[in-house]
Amino acid sequence: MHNMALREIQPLEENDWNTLVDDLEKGQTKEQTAFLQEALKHAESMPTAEY
Amino acid sequence: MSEKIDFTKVKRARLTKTTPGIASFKNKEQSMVDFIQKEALADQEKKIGITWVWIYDDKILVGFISLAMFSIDRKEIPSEKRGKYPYSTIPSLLIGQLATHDEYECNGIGTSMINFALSEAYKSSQTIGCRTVALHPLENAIKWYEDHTPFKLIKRKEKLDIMYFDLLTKS
Repeated sequence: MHNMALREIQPLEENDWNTLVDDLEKGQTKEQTAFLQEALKHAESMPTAEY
Repeated sequence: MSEKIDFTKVKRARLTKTTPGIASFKNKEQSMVDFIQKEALADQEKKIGITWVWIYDDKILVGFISLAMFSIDRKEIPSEKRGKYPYSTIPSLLIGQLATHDEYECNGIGTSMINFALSEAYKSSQTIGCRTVALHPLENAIKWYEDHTPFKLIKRKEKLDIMYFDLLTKS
């Protein structure tokens, strides 16, 4: 086995977990919604190659 | 000093043994160079992480991103303190590594790679549970994410910080 290379996310403590869950309950911000729409358009328009 | 590039000559590809520019990839973080040169393909062959590369002019590797299915987990919390969310994990797409070639920064490559990650996660979330795109940012990369993306930050005491993007669009 080689060394772990991906930066895994370590389990969250109670306070951090609750902060995250409370935030997710609100859903996306308007800024995130707009950013995601642009991301979908951009990713779709970019060519995928093979090397 | 960054070199300006013609973005229409940039292509995205899955990492292979014959991907151009791997040996000449430069980044201030040696761990990023080691990852793309020594570890990424091994992870990919085991289906642990898939690395996508951004190639300029069919010869220069200007950036890469590694993606993996993952979950954000909570440590053991007494049931009375768990709040409204009943599960102990949040299914997510992990950005396991992301780096741009030092000489090609400020060309929109990082944003393009984030766009791809969000797009893949969003498409997957139509068929498989996937609520966020998440990562542990390098300390010196947090400002970049804050300036260029609406990822949210959870600062953690004596632990690596977390950044995440919620995929749930309000209807």
